Amino acid sequence: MKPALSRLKSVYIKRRNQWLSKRIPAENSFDLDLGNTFILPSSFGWAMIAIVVFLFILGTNYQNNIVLGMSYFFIALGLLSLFHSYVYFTQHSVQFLPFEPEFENRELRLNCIISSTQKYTGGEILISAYGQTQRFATDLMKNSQTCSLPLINLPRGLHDCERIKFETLYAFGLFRCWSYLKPKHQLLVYPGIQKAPIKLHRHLDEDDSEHDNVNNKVASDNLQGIRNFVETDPLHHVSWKHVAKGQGLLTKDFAQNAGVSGWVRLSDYQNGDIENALRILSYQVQQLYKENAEFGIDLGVTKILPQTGFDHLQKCLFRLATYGEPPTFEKSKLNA
Amino acid sequence: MRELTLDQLKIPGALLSLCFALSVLPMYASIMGWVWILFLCSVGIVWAKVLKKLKPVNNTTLNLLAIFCMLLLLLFSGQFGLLSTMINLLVVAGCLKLITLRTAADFHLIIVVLVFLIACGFIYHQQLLLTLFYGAILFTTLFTAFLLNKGKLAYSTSAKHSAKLILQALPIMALLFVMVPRLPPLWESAAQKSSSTGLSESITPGDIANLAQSGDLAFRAEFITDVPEPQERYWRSIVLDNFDGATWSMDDETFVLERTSQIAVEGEATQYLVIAEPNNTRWKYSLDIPVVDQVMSSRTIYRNQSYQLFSQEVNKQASLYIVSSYLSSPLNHFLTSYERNKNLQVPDDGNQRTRQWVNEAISQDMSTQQRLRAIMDMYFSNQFSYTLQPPLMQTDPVDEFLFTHRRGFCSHYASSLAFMLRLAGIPARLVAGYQGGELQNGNILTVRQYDAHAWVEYWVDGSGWMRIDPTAIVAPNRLLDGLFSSIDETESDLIERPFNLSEFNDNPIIGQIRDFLVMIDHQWSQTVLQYDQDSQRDLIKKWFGDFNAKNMTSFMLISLGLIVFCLALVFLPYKTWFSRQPYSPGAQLLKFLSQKGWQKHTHETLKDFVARLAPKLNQTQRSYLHVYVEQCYMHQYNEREISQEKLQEMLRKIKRSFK
Repeated sequence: MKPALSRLKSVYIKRRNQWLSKRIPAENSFDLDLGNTFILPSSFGWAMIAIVVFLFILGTNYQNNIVLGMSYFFIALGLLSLFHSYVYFTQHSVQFLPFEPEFENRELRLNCIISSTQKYTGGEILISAYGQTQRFATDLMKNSQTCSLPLINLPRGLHDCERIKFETLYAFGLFRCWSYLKPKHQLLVYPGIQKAPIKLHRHLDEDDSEHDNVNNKVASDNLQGIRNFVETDPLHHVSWKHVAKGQGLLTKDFAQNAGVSGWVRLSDYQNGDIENALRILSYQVQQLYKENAEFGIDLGVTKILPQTGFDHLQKCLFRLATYGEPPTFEKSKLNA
Repeated sequence: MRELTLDQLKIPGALLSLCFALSVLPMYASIMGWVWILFLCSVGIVWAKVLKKLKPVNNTTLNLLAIFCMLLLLLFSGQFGLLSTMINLLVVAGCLKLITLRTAADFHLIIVVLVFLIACGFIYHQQLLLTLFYGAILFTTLFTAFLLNKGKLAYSTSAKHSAKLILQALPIMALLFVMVPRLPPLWESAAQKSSSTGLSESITPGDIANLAQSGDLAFRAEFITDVPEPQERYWRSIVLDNFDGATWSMDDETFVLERTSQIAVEGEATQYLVIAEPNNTRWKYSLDIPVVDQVMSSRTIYRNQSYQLFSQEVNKQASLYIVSSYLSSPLNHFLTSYERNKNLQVPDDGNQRTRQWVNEAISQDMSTQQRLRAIMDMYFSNQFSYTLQPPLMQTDPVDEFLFTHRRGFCSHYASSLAFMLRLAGIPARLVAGYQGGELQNGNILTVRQYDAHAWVEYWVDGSGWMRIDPTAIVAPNRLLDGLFSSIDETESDLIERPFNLSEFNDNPIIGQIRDFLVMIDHQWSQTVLQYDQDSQRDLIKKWFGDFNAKNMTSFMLISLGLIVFCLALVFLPYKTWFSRQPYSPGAQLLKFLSQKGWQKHTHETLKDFVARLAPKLNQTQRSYLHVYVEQCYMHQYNEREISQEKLQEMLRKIKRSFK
């Protein structure tokens, strides 16, 4: 019984999303309006409708004007609630901020800016995605606020974000006014980290035997000199002594790393689980980046030429994250 | 399931339990004892939760409690009747939910129960004050519902907002109230308690004093001519002429007797308007001898040979009629030999001591007046007392009353006297109705259920039916000053008195306030409670000249139009239509671009927006837009003087470039 129900539910969600992708295409910012808002009575609202009917029958049968009046009162209140609820909801607009790339098993966060014309103050918006719901109370003074919602852990890869539900029960909770919005931004999840000794190949087509093992700590006596800090420098190379003296950010330049250069190969680890291999590579490129080494990666079909720096690291991690996914997917390059 | 934190629960929970408690109070009589205990416990639990963190009640315990409660309800449902059981069920459901109060859905459920309870309350009571009281509870309940979604609003602001929303609903409610056609009852419903109080068509002295304890309104009489003296205010309603030794009842033929024949009346007429509350009989109220002048509804009012007024249907709704009464005219129009015999009828046996006493007191050669005097001597020469708590007298009630207890209220006296008169050969009968009433505004007499009274009429050849009130001998104040003056203080506690300022009669200001309240109550019952199909028809007649399908339709359409107008008044952005916008080149550009299908998002600046569009535009459009936007900013921030003409010229260029 249960699997059948959940299958039915998943079919429904799939159909719903298909319909929604036509009606409310993915976009990074939305003004909530007639085109993307739904409104229906909440369960409390349905109960109230039942009450109205009951009161009408009761009032008619007992020929009791006050009870009839009560039923009319709830009709009037429901009617007004419908409009108030809608106007309250559509005074908001939502802007999705780009997702920060994260590693596997680390919490992803959805960040968005919710602005309001402040026609109605107060109230709450419920934001839910990936089974998580957050109550978001709009600020009374500010027109826009940033809201951050934790999402579930996703496997590595470049994912489309699920539809995010924005919902309000404003006024008396009689009506549920909601919208399913989908950000154009994608969720990038890098492979996690698996420690393993670094294997660096000098040349792309070299034999396995001729590799340097650079898995040793950076020796401080190889300090070559001090130079100005550039953004790609790892933080642990910053000379904090100079910072403390007020001489600005300076980086310690190490002689040893300058010379290190080579390729990291996926095929070295491919005998076991591919995911595990990717995790090992993820660890290695980060380690190499920290040590300021010049490295390239060889994933079989795709290769990235050896280089240094943060941008290079990101490029490598992106390749690792999207490894094995269809090439069309890779076209939406990382624009972060 | 939206769970609420303890902080969110606190104030709404306290408010809701308070509302719940207050809404149950006016129905205290229908609530069973054990429900009261459950009720107090659950309200206590909520307040304990508010004041201090409390562990939630175990689910199994609660389910067991629920089952136990349902069993108890089933057990008692037989004794309490359908409506009462339903109320108890609602209270129990509300209590159980109060104990588990945790989610928003729990709150909603209790609100639903509360609304039902209030509706039940309105079936019992419809007075203005109680309506206002329940209205306040309803407001607070809705305010609680608002609090669940209030976000960061302060409580005072939330109250203001929810009050605004509720006030907006009132005109629409009024329009619906006037407009929606009234339907006849869809099916027969369980009887309500309030209409069972009132006069009944049989009297068994020996009953406990039910009527004297209720402060409900029976009717109001608005005098057009002078108000008669207190001792003249005998409101005739029901005439009882069958006696079986214990119970006085009504003859079945009373209705079929010829209707409202013309009768000769003499003397001055006392004219008044009667507004009678609904009850379960067909009888109306009037002073003797009534001549109906006018009836304010479609139902005709008849008069029979016993000078009773009645209509063909039961008084399910209030009735309004104008009567002229000829107080000094004798009631000598009808007495056939058949009726004479009927009014001499006594049961074959029973009440032996009374029979014996009458036989001894009366001799055959006495005149009617002498016989009467001899019988009345019974009340003068013995120590009788007036009380609302007479002992039960079930076998030979007249004997027990006259010779053993000698304590009772009006029907004991009237019943014993009428019986003795019949034994003495004088035709006599019991009349039930009301005596007295409270005078307000100088000409409105308010008569309540505790003014109910019973007296005796006996026939004297030549003069007709004469009224005699034996209660007057025992408790003369009962006639002159009403019920309260004739009973002990301890007994007056038994009487449920309506909110009344009559004790402060001497103070002119309080007198005025009281008169004002009476007037409002009067208006309330006439305009709101009495509004029905006929009133709706009258309204249409008044506005459109005639009542027909076409006018009915236009009436409904106009009302619907008004409702739409109300909604429009609240929601249409009419403010922006009527206020002239200052010249804004940015807004004009946005308007043009939105016609092209490009919308600016709220959080974007104009510059961002144009930058976002840039890839979709050609070189000319892009440069025009760039220049225009720059100029807009200059215009807005007065960096440099840019004339309006120049901007408009630029806009024209942009429009041309998009063609």
